[in-house]
Amino acid sequence: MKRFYLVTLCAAIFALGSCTSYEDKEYGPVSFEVDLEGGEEMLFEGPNEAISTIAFNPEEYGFPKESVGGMRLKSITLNTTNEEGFNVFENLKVEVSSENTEMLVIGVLNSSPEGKSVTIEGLEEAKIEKFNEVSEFFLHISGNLTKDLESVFTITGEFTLNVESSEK
Amino acid sequence: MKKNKFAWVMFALSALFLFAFTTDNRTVQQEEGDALVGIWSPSHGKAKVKITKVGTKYFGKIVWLKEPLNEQGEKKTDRNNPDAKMHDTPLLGYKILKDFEYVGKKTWENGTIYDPENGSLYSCTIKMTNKNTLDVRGYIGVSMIGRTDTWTRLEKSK
Repeated sequence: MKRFYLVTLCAAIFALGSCTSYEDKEYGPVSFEVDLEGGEEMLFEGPNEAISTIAFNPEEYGFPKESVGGMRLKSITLNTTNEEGFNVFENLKVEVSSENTEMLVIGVLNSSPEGKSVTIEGLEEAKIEKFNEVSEFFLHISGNLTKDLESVFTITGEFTLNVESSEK
Repeated sequence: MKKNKFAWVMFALSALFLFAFTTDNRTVQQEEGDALVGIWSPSHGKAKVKITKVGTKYFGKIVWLKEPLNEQGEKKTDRNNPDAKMHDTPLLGYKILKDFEYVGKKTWENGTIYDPENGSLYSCTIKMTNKNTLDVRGYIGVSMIGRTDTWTRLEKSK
């Protein structure tokens, strides 16, 4: 009987020891600037995309990579100086991909955005902690243009990630 | 002393040869892999898919739909997606091919294909049977059990 209690006690101590508590932290805001594909050529009605390479280094924000337990997009803000604004899009989608991880959709705006600045909230269920293993990733911003554009469409913006970190 | 010098020269030459060979080989591999880039049509002809390269991976999105509107006359969306948040996302521009890597022998692996008609995601292997034809095999679990579709390049390569 004594042995049984001892084993139970050891199991409980082990279980408690293996539980890591996480604190919510933020990675960012990270700024970027990117042109819709096509560059100086004409942009055609329909699907268009802009891809930016983002360096990823959690230590810059005070928590080591090993401490990251969960990660997702908090929000992303897109700005443009294009005179048409974002009204020329019928939707916007934000995805991330890297050499070592699967591409994931992290934010969607399924209605036509308005004006020259738009903020998209991150999808709650889009967990991107696997991106913690990479030193850089690709940020894809895509949407369908409602008409042809004879100008460059530059997007500047910033995003913030919500990170669960065991670092206190 | 002379022997030593000779050995060093031979070592340096071998290293240089090895470097040149592997770099050259990598470039050839890359060029072969990039043959996938272009606009393709699945056998049903209902869509056109543009395949592009990002980093070392290949992705394909729908750029044309034969029937872009649904029964209600509205633009088709990803209404069969198991994730309700994607139901209003337009099918036009949707990435249905993701994360393909060139593995040699005109084959791209480790990617997925999404079928918007039933909202299912499959593992997928692409084989180029000739410059303008792809065998796109979608499967769940093992590659043995799956379905192969033949895709045709729309801008024929010479």
